[in-house]
Amino acid sequence: MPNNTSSAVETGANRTPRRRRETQTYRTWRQFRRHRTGLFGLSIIFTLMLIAVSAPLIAGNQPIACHFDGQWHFPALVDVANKIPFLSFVLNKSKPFRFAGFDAKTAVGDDESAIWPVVRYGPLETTSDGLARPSREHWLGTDEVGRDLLARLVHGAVVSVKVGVVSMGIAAVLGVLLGGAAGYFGGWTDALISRLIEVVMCFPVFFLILSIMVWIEPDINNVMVVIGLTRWTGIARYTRAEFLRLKSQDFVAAAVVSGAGPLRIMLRHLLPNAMSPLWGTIAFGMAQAVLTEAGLSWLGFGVQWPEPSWGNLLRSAFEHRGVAPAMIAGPSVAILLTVLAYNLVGDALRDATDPKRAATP
Amino acid sequence: MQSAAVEPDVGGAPINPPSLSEPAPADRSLVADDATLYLCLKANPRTLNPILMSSDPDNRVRELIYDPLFTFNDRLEWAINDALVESYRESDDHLSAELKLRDGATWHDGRPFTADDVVFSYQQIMDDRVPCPAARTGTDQIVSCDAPDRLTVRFRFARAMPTNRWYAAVPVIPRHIYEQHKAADPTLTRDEYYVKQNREPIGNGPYRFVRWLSDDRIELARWDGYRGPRPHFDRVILRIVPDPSARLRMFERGLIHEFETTPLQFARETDSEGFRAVGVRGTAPQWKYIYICWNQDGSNPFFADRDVRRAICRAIDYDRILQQAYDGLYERSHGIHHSSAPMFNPQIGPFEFDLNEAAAMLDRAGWIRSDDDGWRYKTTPTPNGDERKRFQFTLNVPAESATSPAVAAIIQNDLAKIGVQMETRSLEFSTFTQMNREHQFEAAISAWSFGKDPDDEWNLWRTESYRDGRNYGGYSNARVDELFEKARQCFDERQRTAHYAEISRIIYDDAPYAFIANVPTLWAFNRHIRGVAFSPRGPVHFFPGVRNWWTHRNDPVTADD
Repeated sequence: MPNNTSSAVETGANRTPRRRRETQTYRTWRQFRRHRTGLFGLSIIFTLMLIAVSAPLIAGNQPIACHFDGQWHFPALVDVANKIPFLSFVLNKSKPFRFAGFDAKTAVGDDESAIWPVVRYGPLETTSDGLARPSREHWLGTDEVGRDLLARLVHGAVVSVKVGVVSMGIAAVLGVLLGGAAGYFGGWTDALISRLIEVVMCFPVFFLILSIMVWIEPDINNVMVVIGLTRWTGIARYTRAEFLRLKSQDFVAAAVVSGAGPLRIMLRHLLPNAMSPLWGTIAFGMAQAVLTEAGLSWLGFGVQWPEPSWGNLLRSAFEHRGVAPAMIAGPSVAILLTVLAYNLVGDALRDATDPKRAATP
Repeated sequence: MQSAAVEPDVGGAPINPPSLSEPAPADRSLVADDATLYLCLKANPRTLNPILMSSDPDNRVRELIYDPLFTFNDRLEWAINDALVESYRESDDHLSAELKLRDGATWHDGRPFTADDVVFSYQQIMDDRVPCPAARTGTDQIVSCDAPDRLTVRFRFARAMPTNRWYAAVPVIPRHIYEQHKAADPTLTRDEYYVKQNREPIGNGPYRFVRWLSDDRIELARWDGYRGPRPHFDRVILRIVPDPSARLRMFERGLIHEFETTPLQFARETDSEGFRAVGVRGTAPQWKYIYICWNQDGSNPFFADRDVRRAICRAIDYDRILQQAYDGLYERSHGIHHSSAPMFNPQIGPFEFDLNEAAAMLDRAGWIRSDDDGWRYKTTPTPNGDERKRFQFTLNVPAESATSPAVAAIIQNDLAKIGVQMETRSLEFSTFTQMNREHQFEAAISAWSFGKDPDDEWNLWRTESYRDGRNYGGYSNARVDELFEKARQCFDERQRTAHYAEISRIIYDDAPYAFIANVPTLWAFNRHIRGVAFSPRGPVHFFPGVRNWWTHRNDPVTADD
């Protein structure tokens, strides 16, 4: 969060207590709330994140809760909890649900006490019902080996959310650090970092990523890292520009005379005030990251089947479009909505941080 | 191997209609002699120099531009090429042979085709500086090759083998073209002169090169100086179409006249109005099988054990794979030889899918299911104490394969039911093959096509082929080694076939591979194309192959180019 003192210095003309507490980010949020399409985009993103986190509760072949062998079990809930990093080391499913190959549907059957996910198929569960049309059993149909497409679509959302957040997290850290250093220190540092940015920007990003992916293990974590390492330039340029603008302002001079070091000035005083315009760039970057992952998975260099991702689902749908055209609807609508949502949010954030628009009531 | 039997129709355009295999009439006026044939290449050829060629697209062009010394027909029977060769005689001890060329044969530029060309080509193939490993395989069994006169070639072979006549089939390049810059570039590949020659070749076959537009097309025109049977099409244009879907669309629009379909296209995408209007389907058995190779060289704790390999082979639901991954078009593979091949061993009892039996076999092999997580573990003593390993392996799959993901998904699902964890890793094709060559894999799914002779499998299965052959999984069986050796020295065809049949049975029982499916020829042809025959290698890559295709003057094939 932006530093209160610096904001007060910056907005020194406003003397009311409420105004003094208003930070750059709060002002951005206030402007953002007026943007209906931005809110619509944000609601889609929240829904997507909710689906990603609760995927095992929506689609899976293990019950959310059931009474089996004399005790209560919550296998799908444990799956959700295990999405929290490192929790899986402490939290384990109860027996026999953690048993490899355990067929919960047969074992638990139609026990009335059992609460099942809406879709009773796991994303990797094959059936003999290949390329089935949409039906009550399989709402979006099945793929060539009988896997439920809705289950795969829901679990594929995890990948899209992770890719957007993690890759742009890496890009943001890199971009802010390098751009911030360039903007604050200037001189040779600025010249070097700016040239580095220009060199990286010279490469067509998707093909750069594709070239790297040929040489490393195709895996979702690698995809996220590679996207992060190649998408930081836009953030760095924004950060540099903001730091250049802000570093000559009075609140920075005040921090310098009060004895703050460069790192403290950059992180505590400059960064909070420079972040607002970066949110838009990050949101657009997330949209790009989702598209890039889908493109890589389509080409076979991203998420590896049988793990589902929207990109490899789209590939499979494309290959079967002649015989099962409905397969293409799910992943393409999901990608479209997600990219649209990130772009709407990015658009709204850009408007919200535009000083000309902010001036209008 | 003419495909006489019409396959059961699975919906869509006609399969193997009589017109497809109709031979060209004796009355040549009924043949549209001025028509153009549009063939489909799956990729840009790497080179048009026959001694450097290795890929399928390279070979499809070669068959039309170059004429070989020896041919093999649709039953893979060896024969001399009458257009070039007058006689071929091996000595009684089978250690040498004399080849007599016909007088008057020429290259496309009018220069004579002589014994010097054959000797020069042999020397280039055996020159380590020339990158031609495919052509060198087999040719390296020739100890010497010389030309006592301009029409005679003498070969001396390393050993007396029934396959020596195949080895004498040296791909020939014109000496007068290729010797000019040899001193400047001994590789025949780098010098600007050779780059041009390898793209714009002077051949001796029924068609001469016209032009090559990279990633688009290669154009050939009938060569009037050809001394063999005159081909029926005036021009052949080979269009380069890498994407299977694009091939189908181009075929429906008449832009190509044939292409190899995917199983899905053959089974389900040929019932559109567009396809039926222009196309028919052709299918026949092909000596090609899909397998999963288990790396048994001891680099992993699983597959060196024969019983484990056999257990996993019993945990594969072959019928379901055939139905779901291959749309019911492929048939079960019973080992290295197709059931229609003379070397096939009918005593082979295929592995039946039985998860309970597979689990029991793994139990007996020491891979015991954990009561805690359900995966299988094995404890082995090591100098540092007991080591407990989980049965978890990775299957490498080439990223370009359209059907392997489905195969892997089915196997993965079934293996999990018996406590074996299989991961999959999709790899770009060159990386995939490199990892195979370096034995850096646990399991890999791929396919082999049969060569021209069962001896071609020499470097697939012999123990010593692990080092520099294609025995990627490190299979080793002394009896198989011995039988390959015996078959190489056996000139009695029946006895030789019996040796290969025994090899076939032993290999199947040892389960170095899980033999998944036999891949039939699945092809789409323009309905105006006639004279198509199928060999165990498909409708191309044999003699005369495409050269025999024709179209009727009153109902000719056309192209909307």
